[in-house]
Amino acid sequence: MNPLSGFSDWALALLPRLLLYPGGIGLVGGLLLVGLYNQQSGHHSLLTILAGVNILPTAVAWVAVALLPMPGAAPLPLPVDNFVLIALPAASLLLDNHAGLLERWASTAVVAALVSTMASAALMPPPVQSSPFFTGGGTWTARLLAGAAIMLAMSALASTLGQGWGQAIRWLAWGGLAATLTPLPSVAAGLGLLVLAPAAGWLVERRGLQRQAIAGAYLMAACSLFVALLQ
Amino acid sequence: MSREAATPLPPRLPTRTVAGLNLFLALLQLALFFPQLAGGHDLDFAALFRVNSLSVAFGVIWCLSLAYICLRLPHIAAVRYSPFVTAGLLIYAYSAGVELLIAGWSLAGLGVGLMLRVTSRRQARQHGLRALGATLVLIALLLTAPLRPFAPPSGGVTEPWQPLVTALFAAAIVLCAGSWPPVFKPRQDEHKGQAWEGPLVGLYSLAAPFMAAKLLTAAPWHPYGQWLLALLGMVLLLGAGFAGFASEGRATTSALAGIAVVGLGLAPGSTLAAAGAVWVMAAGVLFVLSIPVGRTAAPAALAVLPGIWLITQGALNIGYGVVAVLLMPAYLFLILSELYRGKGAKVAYGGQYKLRTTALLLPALLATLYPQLPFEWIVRPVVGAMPGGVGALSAAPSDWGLGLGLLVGTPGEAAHAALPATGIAVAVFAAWALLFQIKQLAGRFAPKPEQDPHAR
Repeated sequence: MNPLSGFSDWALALLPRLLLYPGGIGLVGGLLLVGLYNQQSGHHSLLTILAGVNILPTAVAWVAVALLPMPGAAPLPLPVDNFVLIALPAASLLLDNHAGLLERWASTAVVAALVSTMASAALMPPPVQSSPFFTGGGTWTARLLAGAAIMLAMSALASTLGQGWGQAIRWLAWGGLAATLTPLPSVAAGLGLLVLAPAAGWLVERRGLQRQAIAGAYLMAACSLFVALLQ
Repeated sequence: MSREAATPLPPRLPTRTVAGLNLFLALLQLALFFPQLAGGHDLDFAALFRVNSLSVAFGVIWCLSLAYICLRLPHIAAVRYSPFVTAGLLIYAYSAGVELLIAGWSLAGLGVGLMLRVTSRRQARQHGLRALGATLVLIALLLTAPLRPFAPPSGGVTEPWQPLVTALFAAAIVLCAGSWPPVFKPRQDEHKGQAWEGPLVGLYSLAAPFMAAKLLTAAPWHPYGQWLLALLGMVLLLGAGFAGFASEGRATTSALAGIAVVGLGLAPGSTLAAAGAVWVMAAGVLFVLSIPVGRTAAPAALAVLPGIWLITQGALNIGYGVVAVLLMPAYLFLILSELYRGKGAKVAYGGQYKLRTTALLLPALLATLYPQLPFEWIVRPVVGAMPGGVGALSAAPSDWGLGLGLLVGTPGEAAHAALPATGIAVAVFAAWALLFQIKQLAGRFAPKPEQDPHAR
């Protein structure tokens, strides 16, 4: 294929993903999340949040959501592999000067959990879109443990949702990745995460258990790696 | 106030002269050797020096880095010793045998120690202990094991390096690149606003795994050696994680060296790992130069990610699953801690801040957004210069319009993975442009902080 036509095909295939599904929905969803959180805590109005958005990290997080292998999303001419899907929200975090220590620790736990199931894979290829699972990545038990680790880390991360639009979109990107990893059907897993993680996050924040949740996430990720290696 | 700001600056002429000399040497290497290397010819000089893509690439990178570091030098005394480092690293890069490699490495270590001595005797002593230990280990290697020159095998197949040779080289690398918490824990007054010591020691540490790359030009590792290098690389990486809070920047440098050692260790089994190691050693220099962590550190950290991607895929491909899954989280953990600690830090760079930032940002952005160019122009020829230990790099075709792609396995069962960095960059740019407009629009209507009824 001509490099120029390959590039143009990619850009054309990406636009609906970026603006509509899953990117557009992620963008609006992130705004709703941050708005809801702020309405509850009374920190800032929605317009203030939009005016204070940290553009580059938010853009990278938005693209991370747009590239998620969600069912029904337009296929890309050159599918992005799992490593890149995981690295994009991490890159957004790297570029975000406002991210706190808690978010950094919890996000690393999510990354560790996401990659732990792939220890026995032959490569980190692009996820197969027809299947909600990462290709070749770990047993049912390893996935379940990794899912639990992500759930714990995301509940700790939920307390950062009110800090900005970028944080909220990043949180959705991690959730989307987790949904493609867990042994549940991705839609159910995604919806479950969207409801359960903020609820757990509220509980964790109320009890001041963020550190314990992050430590638990690392422990679960290590267990997931161990189980994946036993395969 | 930082020490640099407190110390009256001497005339800038000596620093600029030494920086210019390093820059000239980098350009000279390119001008002299690029035509021959483009024609596919390696050059030998009196059986002492060997010029191939590996030596030229790192000779140029190190000279450019030293030019950058020299521009930051505030003390004429330190400037005086910098040619030792340049000469040592060039001898190290172009050596055709182990003896000259050791001589070059020791000279570079001596130069770094003398430069450090100007500002901190304690730091110089710590560095000297590491360099001396590595030199002694390498001399022990000379005395105990039969060694051969760094030349590709004439018949195409060669005996692998003995595990003892690999072990002693690995010990030397770990001594030079390791981050040892009790030794490196800085005093409170050290590393505050010092804009050249961190990069200098970091460059020295990151150059250490080059020894392993040199050995791979002649022969592969023994399977035990491969395992040992992967293990020691992981020890360096995870050790840096534990020592991560001890000293600014140095733990990350140590981690980068560890990742490179892992890649070079796995290189005989997977050319992707070798390519990743070369990438990390080359792009890692950008992070090293941004110590103390400043604005350029995050882009420089991103520039290393394609290398980690290559090593991860290579490690998975040959069954080193634990290595593969630990690389990215460990790297992220260290970098995120480092960036968090450096948040808001102000570094006394002296004048020309914009020029220096741009000089780091441009290559970092190129490596992140258009990795196919450095991959094809630097990594592929460098991997090709290690024919004794590394196979041909056929599994990673570049898509010039989109990014890097991998095709691994037999044709019927080939697995495909892709890093379409350029395609992703276009999407990020589109998202950035839209968010910029949204921010501008919201900024017009958003209440000022004192008018916002919701604000606390």
